[in-house]
Amino acid sequence: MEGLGIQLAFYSFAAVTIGSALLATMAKKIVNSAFALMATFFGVAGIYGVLGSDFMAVTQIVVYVGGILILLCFGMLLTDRVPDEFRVRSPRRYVGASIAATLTFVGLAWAISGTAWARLPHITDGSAEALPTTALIGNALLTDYLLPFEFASIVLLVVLVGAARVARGGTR
Amino acid sequence: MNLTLLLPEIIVIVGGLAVMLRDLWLPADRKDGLWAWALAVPLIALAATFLPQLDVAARISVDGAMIVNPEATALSGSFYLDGMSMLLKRAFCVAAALVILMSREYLSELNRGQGEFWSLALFALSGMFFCASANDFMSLFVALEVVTVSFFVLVAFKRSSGTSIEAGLKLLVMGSLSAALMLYGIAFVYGASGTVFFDQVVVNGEVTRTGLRDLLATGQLVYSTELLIGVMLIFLGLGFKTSAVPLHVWVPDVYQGAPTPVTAYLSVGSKLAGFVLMLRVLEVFSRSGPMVDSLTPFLALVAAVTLFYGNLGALPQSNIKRLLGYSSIGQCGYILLGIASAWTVGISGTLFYMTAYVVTNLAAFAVVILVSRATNSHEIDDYSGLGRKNPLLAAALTVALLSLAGVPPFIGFFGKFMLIGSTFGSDELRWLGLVGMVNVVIALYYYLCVIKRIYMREERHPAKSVVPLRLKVVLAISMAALVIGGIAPQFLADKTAEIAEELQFAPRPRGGEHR
Amino acid sequence: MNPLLAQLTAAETDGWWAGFQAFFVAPENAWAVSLLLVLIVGKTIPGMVSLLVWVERRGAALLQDRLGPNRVGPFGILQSIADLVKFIFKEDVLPGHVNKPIFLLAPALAVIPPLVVLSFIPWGANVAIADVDTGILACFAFSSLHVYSVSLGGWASNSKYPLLGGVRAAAQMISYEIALGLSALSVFVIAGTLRLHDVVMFQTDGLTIAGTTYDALWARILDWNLFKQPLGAIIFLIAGFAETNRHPFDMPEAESELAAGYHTEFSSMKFALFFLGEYAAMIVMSSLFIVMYLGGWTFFGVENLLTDWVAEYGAANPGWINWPLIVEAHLHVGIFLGKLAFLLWFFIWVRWSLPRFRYDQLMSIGWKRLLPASLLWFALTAVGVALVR
Repeated sequence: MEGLGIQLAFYSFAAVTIGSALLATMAKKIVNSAFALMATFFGVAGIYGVLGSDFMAVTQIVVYVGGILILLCFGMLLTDRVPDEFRVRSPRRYVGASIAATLTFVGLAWAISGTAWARLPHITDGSAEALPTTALIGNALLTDYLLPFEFASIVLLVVLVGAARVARGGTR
Repeated sequence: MNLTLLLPEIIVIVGGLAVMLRDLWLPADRKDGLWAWALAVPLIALAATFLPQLDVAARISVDGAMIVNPEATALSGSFYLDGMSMLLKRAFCVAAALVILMSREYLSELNRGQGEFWSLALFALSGMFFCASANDFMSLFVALEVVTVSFFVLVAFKRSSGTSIEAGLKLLVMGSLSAALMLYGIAFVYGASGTVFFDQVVVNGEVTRTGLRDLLATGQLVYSTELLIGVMLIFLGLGFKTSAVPLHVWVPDVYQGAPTPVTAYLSVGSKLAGFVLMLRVLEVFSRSGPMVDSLTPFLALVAAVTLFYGNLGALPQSNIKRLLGYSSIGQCGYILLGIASAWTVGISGTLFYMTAYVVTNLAAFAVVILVSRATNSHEIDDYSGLGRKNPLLAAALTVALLSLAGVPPFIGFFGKFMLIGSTFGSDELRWLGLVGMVNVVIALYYYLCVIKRIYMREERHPAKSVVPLRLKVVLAISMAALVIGGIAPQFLADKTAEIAEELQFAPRPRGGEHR
Repeated sequence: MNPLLAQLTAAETDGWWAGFQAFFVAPENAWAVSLLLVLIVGKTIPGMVSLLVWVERRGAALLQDRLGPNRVGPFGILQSIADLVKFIFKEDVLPGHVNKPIFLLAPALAVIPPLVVLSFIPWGANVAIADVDTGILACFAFSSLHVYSVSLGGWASNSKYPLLGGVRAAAQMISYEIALGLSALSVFVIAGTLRLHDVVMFQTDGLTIAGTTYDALWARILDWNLFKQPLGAIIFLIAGFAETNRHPFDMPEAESELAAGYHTEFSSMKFALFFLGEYAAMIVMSSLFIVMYLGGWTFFGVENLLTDWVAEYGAANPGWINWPLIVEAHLHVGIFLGKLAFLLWFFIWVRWSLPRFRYDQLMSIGWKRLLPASLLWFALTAVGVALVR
């Protein structure tokens, strides 16, 4: 990664992501959590953009912000009464969660820092210019990844049938 | 590109769609006949697996080294047909056919939704097929998701029953967690290797795409921490499907809450899909010695904990479906013994036991369905006196449970024998064999408790079970397989040994000579 | 780099005027041009909205055979400015029962997404703030955020009608977004690109049938995607009406049922922002329709009239700002705005001509008519493309 601007953009997006993720887990009200989550998704999209993956960045917004989070909000709107104090705030859970989170973080940090990424043959130094990726992704999906791409349609079909089944209700 | 290799898959997917459309155009009073359509699909697919066009050598020898035969792959290498996938596909076909035969009775209670049930069951089957043939991590993930998502719906199919919905929700939550873990693992492997494919693709003598097998075999990709973490996370995710510790907690609740035919399908189909992928991933990474050396202690530990958890947890159970749930955790532990041993005999035993497990478990669940239809209960106490009421049914359940427990002369005995035997070949894993033997004894206790009630207690429910023809067929087929497989295991064992040979696992156990 | 600067590289350094020109011509200062465009677009749209509100009210009056606003300025054209002054000086009421952070955020969320989308629209061959490769996807990504302001604004108001409006908005926008996206997909299948600039160019390169390219006027007219994708265009337009909550799909604020729907509790500038957002969303949807179906900034060759002049001037004056290019940009934007004016009038026309749908009709149109139709059309398009190629 060259250039101060890129560095600055990366760290600010990272800060947005982490900060809002913290907010999403800590917020007292579920609505505020949802809003913080929106910022998290935007932050992640920004990181994708900084790393030169424009298609991923936009898809991230379409899928997560424009789809999943809206469904979440929709569920919230339809819920009879959103319990504002929906979290059990016992210190014991905080301790447990903190330990689990710390262990996970340390484990991942250990694994990531223990790897000589730069020496891996497939990793370039990033000096190459970021190119549009849409066409590349399209070609990859229909050549190398044809089977998962096509079979994903069965996943979607199953999901649709299942959603209809579960939502229709009863044994009418 | 060799699309004929995909013929069974195409048959199942087209069949699933056909059943769905047939349901749409069938008048409501004639929907009961749909089961025959659904049954035809796995049978035709089973027949298709025997076509000579699909009989392609999985490996070829190039310059003295055995490599994957490009003729046996399709869809730019994402699909691979070898002995293991063939065997498992046949097992999946049999499982699906038997489950469809069992489900008919349950479904007649529903006025609507039969078509969805059959087509979801068939789509799940197509997912299992692709699991058996997955040859890159993306296909693996998508195929596994088809199986998982189908089961979310099938488990929650009885919309009017609270326990069924609860079971579906539990499966959904745990399934999403495990899928996330697995994807994270795949991301790690991709990060470390730069590829998600198992095989490289060579066009005109030039490598156009690298693959893990070849990278590992040529030493271009060496053991590294994040590669190991990635593979471990993938195994963790697959462990959810196979109900291995630590992602096993859903098993008893889901087994109990789900409609019984779905439980039966889940206990064999979904589980075997997980195991076949474990074998595939392990096979790919067994190209690197250090990887296997780091993985097997992890797998051995998981196997031991899973064995104890399942078998000790089964002891206090009073509900037969919960009991079978815990027992299936225990059975998962046995299969993991063979996988952890990671040499030809262990893998052969694994494949043998997986196949045997299909018929054994399905036989047990068929009896559970029949008894619960008469008594309207899944309590083990309500099996009291079954021996007098329905002697044949009682005998079938007894045989199935004894085979699960590993009592000769049934097929389960030889499976356990091969699995535990394989661990004794290796000095490192001998302790695991002992754990396995201790658990055989524990398991025998709770299986015998059920059998004791069947024969030695007064009956509590006078109602006799009426056995419809379809279930008679299920029981006859599975009993025949259990007994013939027990008396003459050689046929299947030879086949699995041949497959294990083809998979190119280590011919000798690690840390010791084969005795 | 902005194409405006692509042809000019050398720089002259004598005199402030040359320095000024050199500054804008230098490739490393492309940001300055973008910033200029941002300012222009960002300032024009609110202006356009106030004009649009006046047009809407006068148009409504015209269709209903009454006068409409006619007191402030000639033909009442300054009415919107008077309204704006009023909005600013009204008391900004913050009801006690609302969820404050979201209540304050919702009006801003109504305006930001449409303005972001406007930055992806190519107004002319060289006039676009960000002509990104993922063009249309980016447009959809940001325009889909519009639903947040409506649904969460309704939720945060914490009273009955706004909540109902918010729920309706969320359901309606999600439902119609699918048909919208699928009909747009067909366009990208035939154009083979997501970049909006290339989509426009695709509509001007002459009609190719079975390997022969026709360049006559009739072929140029038929080359518009409107004629290649008739059903897709109609679906897009209908879904676009629903996406912008315009009549006959204005369920979220159906005044006869829900008072003012989701913005019942909002007052003064917060209400004005919702207003601005709605009209900006209309402009966005019309612009997308123009780019995708109506040939963008082109008009059957009129857009190319200045091309030779631009090339000559550029060749003769390297290192200078290419003024003819800017004139050409004005021509392109003018053509675009002409089409935009027509479409916006169409929005108004429909609003005052059609009665509102019932809510169940709305859902059934979305899911049972538009969705299957757009899927079918997509399949037909795919088959057609395969056959023609």
